[in-house]
Amino acid sequence: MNKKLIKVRGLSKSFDVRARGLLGKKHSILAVNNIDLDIFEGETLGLVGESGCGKSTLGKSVLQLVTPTSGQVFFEGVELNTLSKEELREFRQNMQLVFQDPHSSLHSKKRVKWLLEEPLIAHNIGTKEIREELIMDLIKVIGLTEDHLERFPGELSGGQAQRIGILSALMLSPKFIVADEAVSALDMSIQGQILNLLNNIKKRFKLTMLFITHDLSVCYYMSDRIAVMYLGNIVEIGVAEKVYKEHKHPYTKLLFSSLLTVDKEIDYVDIISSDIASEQIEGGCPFYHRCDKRKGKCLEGLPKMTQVDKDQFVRCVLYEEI
Amino acid sequence: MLLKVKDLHVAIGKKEKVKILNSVSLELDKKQVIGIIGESGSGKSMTVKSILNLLPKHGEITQGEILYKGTDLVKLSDKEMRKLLGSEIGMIFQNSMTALNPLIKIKDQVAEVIKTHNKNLSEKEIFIRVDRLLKEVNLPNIEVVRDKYPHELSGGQKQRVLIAIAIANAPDMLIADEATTALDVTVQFQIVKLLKSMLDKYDMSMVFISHDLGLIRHVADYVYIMYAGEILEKGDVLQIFKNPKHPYTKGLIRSLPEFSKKGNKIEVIPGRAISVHEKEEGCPFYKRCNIRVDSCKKLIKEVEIEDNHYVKCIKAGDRDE
Repeated sequence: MNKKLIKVRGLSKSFDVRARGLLGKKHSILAVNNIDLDIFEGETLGLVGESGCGKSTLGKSVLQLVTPTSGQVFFEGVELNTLSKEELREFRQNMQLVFQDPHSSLHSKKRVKWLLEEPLIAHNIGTKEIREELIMDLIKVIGLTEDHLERFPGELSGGQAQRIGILSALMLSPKFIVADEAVSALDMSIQGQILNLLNNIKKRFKLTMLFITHDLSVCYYMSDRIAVMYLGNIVEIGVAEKVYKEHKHPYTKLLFSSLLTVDKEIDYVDIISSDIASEQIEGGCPFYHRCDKRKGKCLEGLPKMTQVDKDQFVRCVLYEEI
Repeated sequence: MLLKVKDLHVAIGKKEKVKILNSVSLELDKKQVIGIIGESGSGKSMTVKSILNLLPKHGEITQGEILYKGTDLVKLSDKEMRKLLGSEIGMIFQNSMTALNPLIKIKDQVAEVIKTHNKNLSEKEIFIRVDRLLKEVNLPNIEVVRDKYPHELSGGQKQRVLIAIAIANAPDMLIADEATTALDVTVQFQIVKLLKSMLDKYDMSMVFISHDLGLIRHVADYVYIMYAGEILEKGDVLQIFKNPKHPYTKGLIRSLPEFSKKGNKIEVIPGRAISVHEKEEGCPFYKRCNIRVDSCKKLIKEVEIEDNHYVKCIKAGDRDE
């Protein structure tokens, strides 16, 4: 197996929320709960989960765009949370983020060329000529032409704007990219084009990718390994093939059986599920309320990550004894 | 036949009119679910807005009929139309956050629809019906939930309230525009299940609009594929998905990630969907099509390829590559 590019240890992030009005009691919500995660060089790790499960917060905490409450993130052995602001800024060249909605993440009053040059200027890279040459080269890689450089983001279609969003993340030649719902806002005939582009640049620039999505089919297609998140915890992680076809955690099962795809027959009677519980359970299995296999001992502390197969881990008491 | 849209043309714009729908025809039978698939800007929402008489200010039906149980909705006055909406025709829209009034308790929002169309019911009778409806859409703890405001409910619960409102007066026809799009997979599944059971129970028909092919595949009986304001293909759901004929439909299905092997490239449709402004004569898909010929630039007629399966493409009858 390749070496670990990113090592996450005990990462937690909580947000303070005030209940009802100014005088309401403050309490905190644990968006990401004590996560250990390795991302290997050259792989695409897919991160799936429903809205509010903490997948975006995890992605942003790894990049230190959100300051974790506790825990460590190592990038090639460098502990990111010990870096000073200035050092971290310098280090950011190595890791970049691709956003969901290209039109709201690109500066609407600046031309495409400026948007692409800006990260290079910010990091003092090259002379004006070298930078321009680089941009001219790269714009073709993402399937656009020099004409597009003089346009404003508003003059681009959704797919074109997302290409620019991806390219601006690539300008500093990072090693690691977090793609947060990078194709979710796109029309269906454009989605495939952008997925192809992401795979293409991943090969060409030897990138490692954390691919965050709520779309299971897209996640399976893109990822080497998949991690499934539920209420701040990773409940299952493993090789994409295994998680997709031989998933073990009851939540992963529920997710995949709820998926309505073109090539699947569904038995509606078979699948019973309740609404997502947003409140967390003190110390127990986060999926307890919705689980059809729950037992008393599920409430005795957070289940441990248990290895069920080569490279497949599940957080469920049913597998703890194996 | 419950609903029959015949050769509908719609134009929009203050001075210069742009044609946004071009000869759209739909048929909805009793107890049938039709699905309309299209990308943004394809005109799928405008089609239902025309049916419901909810076109934006400068939108206008320039040609065609919308026959609901034999009456032409185009000719109805606003007042007559309002009578139909909410009683005979129920609507569910995408965004449950904006479709519900944030300042009114949900029981009162459900009650309002019942009141509007049943002036003779007493307050007590109305709220008995409200409770029955909330129970029917499987909302938990109705005694508590009925007194809540929309923001206190989860996305799935709000969608259930919207369904309760839509079916409050046992309509014959439901119109659902991207009704489950904003929801998570597991919640979407429950809502689809609920919709299906309601359709069965009340013998309702439904027009179901979505951009999600997988969803349409599991909800609709008959499917229309829209592109740049036109219907390019229509057929039974299985015909469309097993034996798509139009290059656009084929391309859409083929570009789904579940049909591509990991590591292989996804076979995509090149370019992007044209907007109605850029439309020229002939086939709207011409520029992106991989089997185009010169005669595609002329008017394309719909042909029946097999029973009830129609395609607007001159090459569709050819054998598959």
